[in-house]
This record gives sequence, structure tokens and C-alpha cells, in this order.
Amino acid sequence: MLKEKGILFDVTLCVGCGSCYQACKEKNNLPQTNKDFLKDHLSNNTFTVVEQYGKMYARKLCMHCNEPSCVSVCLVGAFNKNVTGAVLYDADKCIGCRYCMQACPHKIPRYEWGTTQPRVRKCTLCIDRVKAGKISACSEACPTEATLFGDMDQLVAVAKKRLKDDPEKYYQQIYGLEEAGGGHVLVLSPVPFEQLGYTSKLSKEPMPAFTMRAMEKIPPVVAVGGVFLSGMYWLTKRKNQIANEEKKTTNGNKEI
Amino acid sequence: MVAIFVLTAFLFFILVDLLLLKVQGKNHPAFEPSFFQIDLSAFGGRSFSIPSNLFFSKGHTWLKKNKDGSLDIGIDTFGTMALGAVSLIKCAEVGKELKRGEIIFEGAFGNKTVNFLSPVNGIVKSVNTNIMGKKIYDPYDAWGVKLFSKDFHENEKLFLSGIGASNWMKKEFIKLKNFIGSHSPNIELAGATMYDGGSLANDALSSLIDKSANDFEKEFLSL
Amino acid sequence: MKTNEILKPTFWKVVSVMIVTMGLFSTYFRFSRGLGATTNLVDTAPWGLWIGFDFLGVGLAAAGFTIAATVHIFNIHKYEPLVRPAILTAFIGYSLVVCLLVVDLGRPENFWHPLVMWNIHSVMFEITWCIICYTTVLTLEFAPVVLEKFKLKAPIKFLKIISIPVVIAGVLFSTLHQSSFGSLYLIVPGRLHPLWYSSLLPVHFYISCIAAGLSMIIFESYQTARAFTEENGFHNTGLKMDILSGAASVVLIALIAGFLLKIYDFLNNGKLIYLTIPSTETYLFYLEIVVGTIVPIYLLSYRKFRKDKKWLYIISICVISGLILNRLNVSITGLAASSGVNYFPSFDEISITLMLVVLAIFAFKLVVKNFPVFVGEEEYEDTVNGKSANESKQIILSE
Repeated sequence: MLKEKGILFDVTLCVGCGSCYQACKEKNNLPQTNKDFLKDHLSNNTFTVVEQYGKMYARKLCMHCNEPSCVSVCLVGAFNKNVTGAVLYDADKCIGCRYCMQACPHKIPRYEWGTTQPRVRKCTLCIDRVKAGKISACSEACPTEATLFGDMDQLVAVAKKRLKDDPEKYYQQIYGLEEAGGGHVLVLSPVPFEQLGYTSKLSKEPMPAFTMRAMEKIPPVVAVGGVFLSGMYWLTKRKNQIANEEKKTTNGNKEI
Repeated sequence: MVAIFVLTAFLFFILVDLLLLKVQGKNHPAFEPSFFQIDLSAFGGRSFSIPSNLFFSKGHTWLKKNKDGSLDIGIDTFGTMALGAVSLIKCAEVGKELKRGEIIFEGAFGNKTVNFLSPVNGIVKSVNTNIMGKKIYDPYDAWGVKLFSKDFHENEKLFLSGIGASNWMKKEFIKLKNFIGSHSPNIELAGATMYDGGSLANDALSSLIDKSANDFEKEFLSL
Repeated sequence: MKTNEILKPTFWKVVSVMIVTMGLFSTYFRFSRGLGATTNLVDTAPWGLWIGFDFLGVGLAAAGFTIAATVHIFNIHKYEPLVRPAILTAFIGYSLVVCLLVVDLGRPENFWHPLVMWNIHSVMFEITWCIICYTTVLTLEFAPVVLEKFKLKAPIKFLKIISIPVVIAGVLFSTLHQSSFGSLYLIVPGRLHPLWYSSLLPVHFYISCIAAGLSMIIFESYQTARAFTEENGFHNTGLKMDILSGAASVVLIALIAGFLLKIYDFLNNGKLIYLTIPSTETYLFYLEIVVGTIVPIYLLSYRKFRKDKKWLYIISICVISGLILNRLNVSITGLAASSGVNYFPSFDEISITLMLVVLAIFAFKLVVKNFPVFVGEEEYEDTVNGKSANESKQIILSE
């Protein structure tokens, strides 16, 4: 069985060369969308971007959550969590409700608005390459090892070691380890993450838990509601019957 | 902004409809003049006129003598108005020998019926089928039954006409107010709306009549 | 009706034909060119007017289950004249919602997938199934009206036997999906504006749909009385003020309950601070609360206004407006800030929506014209009891 894979992105090592961006495009056969890759944004033809913040560069891509919102919300199960940790999409199942796009805490999924057979597009964590024993295209292309690909447990260990060894250099948080229940893309940065455009203030609880708290009330609501309504029906009917009978008897008395 | 847009569109369509009705001279059910508004203007004497050539029975039917000796009989303003809008659903049949006090019309308001009684003895000559089942707007145009009566002249003193008739009808309207006051399921409502210019709905009246149609007949439609 | 009477142009007929023509063109473009070319939806704002309208449609059709429950479960037979119009409204409302959903789906040809591909963790899945089941329930509830017309007595008898379980199922399905429309947004705590986001969102949605559904029935009674007059050969379409006032009292209770829940929510979650931040969201929130809750509560608490037909009409419009604002605020306004785009629907989105609304009204008219939707209390009793209602009908219906 394959071990759970992931990506560790270290902002301090990234030089903003755009190799990952290009490699991703080539690997996924995506057309060029912007001459200046730094100004590009995620779209149905761009699964990862490099954003510039002063002298720092930050990559944005699907975080491959441990308990993904998109998997949880999709009514036909077009999204699923692969054993490798990748969150994958099946266009054949999709009906196109776009709830996944609405629900994603990182606002990652993109849509093919221009076609009549639109698909949801996003990073697949290079599932085909991983299955073939290779690492993701972006990490292979990265010249500075800012993007590392590997087993999740090793990546977490590496990230923790970096934070510990160089506390001056890093903001003491591994983004993506606990955010929204954690995922398979980890980020290290010298500054707080909201300064680099990462969605901050995410709860440590996986997002689907918010829904589950309401969903788990459904069986009791149905049970109690059903009993209550049947009971009310029986009660009010009985009451009306008694009232009618009383009416009849009093009428009868009058006649006598 | 979308919320405002949709809301504006919703209100816009309602307003256009209201304006349209106004242009057409109709009323939206919500803004229909209520019974007592009609009533009060009636007391002003502007729209409330009784043709002088008619006779009125205390059972709220009117009679008109034709040249050929026949009598046209219909329901008077009070009869058509007190019920909100009455429609005739049944008339005495052609050829029937009616006696005074027998049912000549069955009027419907909603699904409740009230009976109007024949003011004279006579044989029914014809029935106005054109007005059956429709609302009566001009009570003195809408005759319901044409009949021949032998004893009309002997009974003429039983009927009212001219100023006497119009005074009597005003009194009947006042009596109706009291009737509603005492029969209303909600006396406070009747009182309040009557005094503040009136907005008691015809429908409130109808629900009232639903419950006390018999009392209404006894009180106003007996001869 | 004679053909020339149907063809006689009236203002609304002309407007309707124009709207439907435009809508048909837009529908054609929508399906031939895709969503991107015809809507203003973008990646960060994937839901727009259509989904917002689905929320409205379902919310305003809620009277279908409240009135059915009142009459059949709680045996309050005073409201019986409202049952059929309410069920018809719900049925047509849901049909509109389903049509709009199919238009909105990126892959409408796959609309049947939820039937065979299940993800029970999805709120959307639950909503879909509840709507399917509830539409079936509505069909069963309305079937007697159709069967009556064709004098099929055996199926009516059968439907009468199962009627109570069907009504109970309808109430449960409605309860679930009405509240679940709120649950849809539970998963986006970071994106939906805190003025609207609340873990109680499903309860808010449920309570507000009861108030708005009944207001819709009140509003609709006026429109029915306006459009289907005795002169046009309709019966029992007049306003029944005592019933409507009774329904208005329930609206009042639901509004107060919803308002108290909102106050509790704001106090408990420390959200009061957001009421003081001047922003579009705050202004729209105030508008929603004032128009949809405070003004109607104030007016309804006076018996004088509750019983007055003019005021009741205005109140019902207020409550409906409140629901329109609330649902669109949740689905569009509240998400605008986090999406970073200012979404406004495109021409095609608007014209398709308008077309479906016009068609829904037309369908309502058509059914009312051909089936005994508006019946007097006695007739209703008779038909329900399976007796022949012919005699009493002839008297009332003969012209």
C-alpha cells in the first residue's frame, strides 16, 4: 500500500522562479494563461500559482485536506480522498452544482465556465506520477527544494525540525498541519500566514464537522417529530370525537 | 445589491399591478372600498337614489308596474348591498302561482343562501335568466321575475315609494349596523371600524351572515 | 374560454409573452453556450441569482406543509379552504425550483445522478432526496383534486386511507430540507458574513419559512381574489378574512420566535459588535430585520391591523420581502466580501428567472381554472368523505 504523500513548501527557500508553475502546466497539458506567471491566478487552466509578497513568494494550490469539505459536500460523491492523500475529482459523476467551490475553506476548486460540459479543476497531487513511483511535477522541477514531496510523516518531521533549529527564521507555525483539520500540503513562512494571502483564522476542526453537528440531529428530529405528529393527530381527533359525541347527546336530551 | 434588486423587482410588479387596476377603474381586493364606505356615501345622497316610479316591499324587493299590467320584481339596493354582492341563484319558476310570502328569489353570497319573499300574489310570466348567477350592480335594472298580479292594487298601501321609501331604507341601513354589532363574533372590531371611517370588510360581513343567515332573513327579509 | 377571449391582449398578457420570449432565448443560449457566456458567475462566486431564487421558492412554498399539518394533524378544520391552494403553491413552487436548478447545474444531463450515487454526508444530498420525496408527497396530496374531476373514486379512497401518514411524512421532509437550506452554509464559517453565519442557521431558516410561507398564502389569497373573480366564473375565490387573520396570528408567533432566536444568537456569540460596523452588509441586515421582522411584528400585534384587509396585505408583503432579503443576503450579500467580487446577475440569468416565475403563475392559473382548487368548506367535507358533492355543487356552480 502506498503511504500518504504530501508537499512541504518553504517560503524562505522559494526564489520565485516559476518552475513549479510551468511544470504543473506541462504535466497537466494546460495552456498558457498569463505571460507573467507571478500575476496569474488559479483558474481552470492553472492549478498552482506563485504569488509575490515583497521579497517573498507564496505558492497556492489545493491543500488536500484530511477531511475535505469538497468530499463531504458533494452530493454524488464526485470527490474522494485517495489513499495517497490526494483529493480527486471524477467528472463523470459530477452534476455541476458547484457546492464544492462554495464550501472549500481555501477557495481552491475552479470551474470550466466556458464549456457546456464543465469540469471542476484543481491540483491532483500528481496522482498518476505518484502511482508510478515518482514525485509530483512541481517538486521535481523546484531548483531550491522549496517544494518538497514525500511521505506525510517525514514531511511533518522535517518541518518541525526546521522550526526548532531556526526559530529566528520561521514564524512558529506549520500552516496546513491543523488548519481546517489539516491536510497534505504544509507551508513554512517567516511571517504570519495571512500576510502571504493564506486563509487565516481557520478552525482546527475539520469543516465537515460543522455540518455533521446539524446532520446528526436529523434522526432524532425525524423520530421525535414522527411520534409527536402522530400523537397530535390522535389526540386532536379524539378530542373532536368526544366533542361531537357530547354535542349529539345534549341534542338528544333536548329532543326528549 | 442582488437582494435589493430582487426586492425592488417584486415590489415594482405589485405597484404596476395596483396602478394598472387604478387606470382600469377597478380595485385590488385589499383596497376595495368596504361596505361602510359605500354606505356612508349613500347617506350623502349622491349615489343613493331610488327611482320614484317603483314600489318597495319590506322584504327588500321592488316592484315596477308595466304598461301591459305585468309587474317586474327585483331586489332593492339594500338587498344587494347588505350582502356585499348578491347573486341570484334561483327564481320562482315560470307558470307558478305565487302567493304573497312564498319564496320568490334565492340569493347567494359566497355559499350561503338567503330567501327573498314574494310581495304579491300572482302567476310568474317570465324569469330574467340573464342575471342569474351574476353579481347585481344596478339593482333597479336587474328585474328577476315578471308576473301578473290581480290583487296588486288592493295591496298597494303595503308598499313604500318616493321619500317614504328612501327614509325607510336609510333606517334599514342603520338597523343593519346594529344587527352587525350584535351578531358580530367580534363586537370590538365592528365598533372600532365603524367609528373610524369604516373598513369593515365585506367579507367580515359575509362570515357574519354565514353564521346568522336565518336571523338576517327574519330581521330584514320578512314582509 | 373562447379563443378570441384568450387572444384579447391585456397588459399582463403582453408583458408575460415578452418575458417568456426573452426567457426562451436566454434558455437556448444558456444550454448552447454554457454558464460562462450567459451568467456573471465566477470561481469565487459560484452561486448566484438562480440558487438564491431556489432558496426563495422553497421558503415561500412552505405553507404546503404548515397548512396541511394544521388541518390534518391538528384537526383545525377552519383552515381547510387554504389546504388545496397551499399544496398547489408548494407543488408549483418546487417545480420552479427544480427547473431553476436544472438550468443552474453545470451538467444538467447528469441531474439524475443523486438517485444512484449517494453521499449521505452531504447536506445537498439530503436536500435533494427530501425535495424528491416531498414532491411525491405533494403529488399524492393533490391527486384527489385531479381524480375528483374525472370521478375516479377507488384511488381517492385509497389516498384517503394513506392520507395521514403521507401528511406526516410531508411535514418531516419539509422540516428537514427547509432547515437544511440553512445547513448548506454551516460549512463556510469563514466565508459567510458573521451577521448571518450561525450554528443555528438551520433553525433560523425553518422558523422564517413558516412565517413567510403563511404570508405567501395570505398574499396569494389577495392575488387570487384579484385575478379569479366571480365574473370570470370562479367561485370561492373571495377573501376569507377570518381564516387569513388566523393565519396571521401564526405568522406573528413565528416572527417573534425567529426574532428572539436571533437576539439570543447575537448575544450568545458576541456578534452585537457587527451591528455597529457601517457596511453594505450591515445596512442590508438592518433592512431585512426592520422590514421582515420588526414592522410586521408591530403591526400584527394589533388586532385592528391583523383583521384589516388592507393592512394584512401590506403585512404579508413585508414578511415576504423580509424572506427575500434574508435568503439573498445569506446566499449572495453575505458571501460577497469573502469572494472578492461584486456579483450582479446577467441579463440571461434575470430573464430565465422571470420566465420561470411567469410560467409558474400561468401553471397556477391553468390548474385553478380546470380543477376545483378553491372549494367551499361544505363541498370540501363532502368530497373528503367520499360523498357525491354534485347536488350542492350544481346549486353553486350553475350560472
